[in-house]
Amino acid sequence: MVDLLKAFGRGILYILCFPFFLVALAIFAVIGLLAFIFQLIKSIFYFFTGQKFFPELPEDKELRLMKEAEEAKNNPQPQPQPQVNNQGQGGLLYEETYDEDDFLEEPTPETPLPRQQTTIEEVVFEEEPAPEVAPIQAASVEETPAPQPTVEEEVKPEPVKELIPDDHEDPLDDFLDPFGEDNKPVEEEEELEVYRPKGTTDDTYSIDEDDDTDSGVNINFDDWGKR
Amino acid sequence: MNFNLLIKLTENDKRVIIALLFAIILLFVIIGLLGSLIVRTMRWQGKKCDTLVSDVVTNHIVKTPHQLRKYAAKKNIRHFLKQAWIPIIIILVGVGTLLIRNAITKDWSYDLLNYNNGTKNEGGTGFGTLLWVWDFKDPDSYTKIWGLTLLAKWPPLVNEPHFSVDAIWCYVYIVCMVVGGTWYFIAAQAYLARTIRAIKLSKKVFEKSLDNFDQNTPPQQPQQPNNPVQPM
Repeated sequence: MVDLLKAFGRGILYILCFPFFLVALAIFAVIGLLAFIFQLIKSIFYFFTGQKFFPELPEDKELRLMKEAEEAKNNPQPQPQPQVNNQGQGGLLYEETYDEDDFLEEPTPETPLPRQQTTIEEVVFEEEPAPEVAPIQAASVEETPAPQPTVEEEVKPEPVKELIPDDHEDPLDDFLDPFGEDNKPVEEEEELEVYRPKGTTDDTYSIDEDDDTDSGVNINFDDWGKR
Repeated sequence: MNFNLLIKLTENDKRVIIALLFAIILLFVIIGLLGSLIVRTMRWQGKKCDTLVSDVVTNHIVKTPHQLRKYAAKKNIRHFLKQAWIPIIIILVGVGTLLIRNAITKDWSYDLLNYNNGTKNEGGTGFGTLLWVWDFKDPDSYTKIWGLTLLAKWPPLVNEPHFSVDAIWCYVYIVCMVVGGTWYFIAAQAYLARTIRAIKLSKKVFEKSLDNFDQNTPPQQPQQPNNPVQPM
């Protein structure tokens, strides 16, 4: 009952406030329409000047810069400087940069050299070189005229390909070129007719036996030249 | 004393008055419930403002209520434009349809609610062809009670819903206007709700309260859990 009376009271209040609400709504609708027209005109200008439809607000820009700075602070990453390998075989090479603290220690056989040359693929795909492979000096790569394999190539030598005989038949070739030179349909050979003595059948007669029994035609060259 | 103002009510009059009272109460209750629904909807729509401005506020980029209101106004109008461009296009399509129809027929005195061409349930060039139409001008449907002209009976039906090919322009126009207009006003209501929310936030976020502050109370020292004080 109390809720009903509350709803009744609200009903009276809303009836009184409804005209003001309608006026406010109409004002905002008109403001929105004017803003739409204004934005439409601006968007034409933005289109021809190559800007975004809604340019970044100064507060948003400040927020973005702040977030980028925070991310850079949390995840410091060395900036690789790509260097083109003139040898043509090893792809792009670059020299990893190290902090100054790394150079305080003298390089010993136990400790790896501070400057290490790595392929760009290892950096991009975060592939770590194998530990047993000695790093290549950047200077040696630049000075050697002959093409030098990169670290990646040394770590991962190309597997020796097995020699495949020429007469190897690939079922994929048959599928792709069913009537190629190698895949011409073979005509069925006619079966040789076997002449056998009368009274014998295929099961009891063999053409090889013919020579032993001196029956039929026996051709040999034993007496060649004696006649 | 003069009791001329007293009205003698019959039992039937009392019943009518009680029924009328209940009807009015019910009407206000329904209006109150509808109003509560609108208020809740606007509160929910206004929550979007929090999403739009929260990053900037939580990172302390805006530092004054004025800055917050200004920034929220920009974000709100942009969000409104993103919400309102579809209904505006729908409305423009409707208006364009009507203009094309008028240009083709060269009839600029077009009655949008025309329901027939003088024949019942046939023809018609307006949206009224899809509606029930009663003849409220029929004088036989009215009567006079205590000097007031009141509707005595349901007026005669002059049109039943029927489809008319001639009115197809008007169908498109009315449908586009109703759908686009409703959509647009909902977007405008959301814009109004976000603006109200932004004003509330600008007051609330930067509010400083001294309700629980007592200057005579010394500030509490933070207790260090690693070095507890040993009793002597």
